[in-house]
Amino acid sequence: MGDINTTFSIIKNALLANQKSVSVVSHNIANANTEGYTKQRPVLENTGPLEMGGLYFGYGVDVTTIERVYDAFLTIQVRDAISDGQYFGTKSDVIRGVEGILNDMEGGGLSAVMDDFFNAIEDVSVNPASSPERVSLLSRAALLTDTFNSMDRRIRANMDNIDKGIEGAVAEINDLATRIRDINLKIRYSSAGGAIPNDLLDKRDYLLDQLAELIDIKTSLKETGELDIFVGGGVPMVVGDRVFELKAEFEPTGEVELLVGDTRIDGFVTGGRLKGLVDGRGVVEEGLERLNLLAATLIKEINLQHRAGYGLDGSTGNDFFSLPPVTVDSTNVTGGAGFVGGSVVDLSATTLDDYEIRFVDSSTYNVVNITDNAIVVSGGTYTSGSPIVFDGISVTIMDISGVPASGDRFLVSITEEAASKMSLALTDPDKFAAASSSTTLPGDNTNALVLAGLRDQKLIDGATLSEYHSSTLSQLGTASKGSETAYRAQNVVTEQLKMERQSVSGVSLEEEAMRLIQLQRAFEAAARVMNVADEMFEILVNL
Amino acid sequence: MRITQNIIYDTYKNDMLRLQESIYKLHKKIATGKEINTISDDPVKLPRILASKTIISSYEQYRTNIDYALSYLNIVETTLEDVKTVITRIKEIAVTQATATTDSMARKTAAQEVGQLFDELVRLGNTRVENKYIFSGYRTDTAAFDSTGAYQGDTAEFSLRVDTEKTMKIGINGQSVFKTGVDIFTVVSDLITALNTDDTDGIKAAIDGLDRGFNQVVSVNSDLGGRVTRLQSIRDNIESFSADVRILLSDMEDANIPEIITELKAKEVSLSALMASSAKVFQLSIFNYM
Repeated sequence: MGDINTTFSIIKNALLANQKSVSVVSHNIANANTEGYTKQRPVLENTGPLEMGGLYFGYGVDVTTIERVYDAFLTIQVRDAISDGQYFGTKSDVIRGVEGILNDMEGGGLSAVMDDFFNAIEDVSVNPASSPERVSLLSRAALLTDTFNSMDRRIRANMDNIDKGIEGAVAEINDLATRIRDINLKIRYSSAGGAIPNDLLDKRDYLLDQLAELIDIKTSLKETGELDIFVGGGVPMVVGDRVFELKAEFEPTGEVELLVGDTRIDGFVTGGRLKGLVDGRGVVEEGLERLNLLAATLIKEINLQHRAGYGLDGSTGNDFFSLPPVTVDSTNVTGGAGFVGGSVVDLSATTLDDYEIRFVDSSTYNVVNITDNAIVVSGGTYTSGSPIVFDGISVTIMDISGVPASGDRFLVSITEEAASKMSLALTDPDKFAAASSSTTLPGDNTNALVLAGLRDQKLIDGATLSEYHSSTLSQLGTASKGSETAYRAQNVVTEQLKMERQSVSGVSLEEEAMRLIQLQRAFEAAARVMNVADEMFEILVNL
Repeated sequence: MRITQNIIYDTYKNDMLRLQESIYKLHKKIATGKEINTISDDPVKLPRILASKTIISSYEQYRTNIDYALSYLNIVETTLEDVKTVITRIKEIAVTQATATTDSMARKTAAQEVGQLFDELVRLGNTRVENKYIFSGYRTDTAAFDSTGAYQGDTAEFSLRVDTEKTMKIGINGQSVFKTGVDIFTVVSDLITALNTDDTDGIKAAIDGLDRGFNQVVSVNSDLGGRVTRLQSIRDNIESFSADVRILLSDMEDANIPEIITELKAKEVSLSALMASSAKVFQLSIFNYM
């Protein structure tokens, strides 16, 4: 060793090492704009030493590995920040979508329409015998019912979109989990040979970032290079070559449950678009329920008072609005009985709360008010097809394919469709009951005065109708603004962290260009050494 | 810190997007003239804004109600003035005819004139506004009095809502004007009988009745004057309160245009500076020198 042959071999290694390095640099330059790409760096090592004649000679250079310039801690931080940001951003977007529907800021909103409706009643009270005021009242009332109908319809359409978004997000999460598992397997096989497949790691990190946009994740890296993924506070989603699929279930109560296998995780998911959709949906659902309670209260109070009065034609007991439909959802029904019909039989006895008919066995049921958990009917005897009557509501359940089973539950509500099905029962303006008696027609306006006075009455939750509506709007606005603010704050953090990550792992073209020149010069120098060695060899040969 | 091309691009991109978003929001405020354009712009102020709008809307309605009440009372007042004039004229005739010097011929002629004045009273009692008999109580479609002066209405007096949770009695019925206490129609028809039968005692009794009838109308009229004053004062209150609420509403939701334009200018300057500087920075590349 230490001879010219060795020099040739050193130069060969140097030329190769520089070529390899140039190829890494060009890979970097090529991927300067590739999302998720991590800068790679050839790790050069001097080889040797070899002992010869009591001396240790170095043996040149070699590229021992190509490493990723990577900060594992930053990567996790970025991922968590992305999850948080996406959560708040999505939640705020979801609520904002509904805000536009409920927006009362530009006039023509529900509060203005309600004000107009009560003003129209006052106009009739001024001129109870006059037809134009009555006709105008009915058209104002029709506008009010239309507004409730269309708001309800648009919010529900929006919620359908949210539901599709939730299903889409779940599908995307499962797809990403599967793709990450596939990459895991590739990495396991590739790294069995010892070398680390950097670009596969990049791909996996990129997919993990995408997954973190959808749901907050915890990861654990195994020695084999595989990465396990956990969601919802430690429930495994990807472990080894197995993927545990996430699914979303929509409950009749309006809740959305997220499950991995049979484990319910939605309470433990804190970040990501999916949770943003679910929580945003919760806020929207609450708004929708309040809108329906408002409609139901308006229908109930106006109707009860209207029934007490007399129309110009002497008629009494008329409904102003149509009664809200009774809706029944079967939950956990395993027996053969089903809901066949229901109606409001005594409006004054209704509470506007939701109820559950719970079967104890095939012939006994309890009715529970699920708002205050009071038992309304205890141990009622079930006869197929005969109405079950409680708190002014009549519900008919019948054996359809068999008898009810113990544990069957039927959720009964008269507010569920109060807004969507709200309509006028009164079509003849003369039937509007402005008077309090049939003997005081046509100038008696006292019932109209009481009806108009309902606008000042605290009818729901200690608030007037319009106060209640504005607090619905305020709740939505607060939720949306809160998420928006959190999103903005989180966004700044995310940007900062991404920049830090970029600062560590990103490709700087200047750096690469200089490195390129550096490598070129080294290559030239090695080639020059080769020349010298060649000349030396020639001298020796020609001796 | 190591700055890569992506950091530079992203920084410029994010800064530009942020600036453009705030410029958009300012434009929106200028376009609508409102500081608050969506519910979430200020959910704390929102209930107060909506409550203010409801107050303004209901107060406009109360104003309409009060204006109607005032015009109704105004017509009643005019009518009662006419009634007073007619009663005064009848009394003059009665006073003239009560003296012993007039003869039965003259009294018969006077009886005819009083008969016409009686019809005039019935006509005034049946005054209508917009096809409604104003003195019939709730029976606004029925004449208050028939040709004999018998009351055909009811004793109701209609009320209107004039303020939040405040209804006020507005209506005046013919019973209380013409019948309760002194029955003016009976007094006048008794007078006609007395004139026709040369009954000076009867005529004198009628003069007394007419005096009391006149006072009865005067007292209704002054009660009515009191209502007008009250209504006017409620209306004044409503108007001044409405004006206050409007100012409050404007303070809450109207955009401060000069301030916004100043802010907009500042943002525009920032944006163009940012664009100019990005153009310069993006041109810088080591490859230009290689």
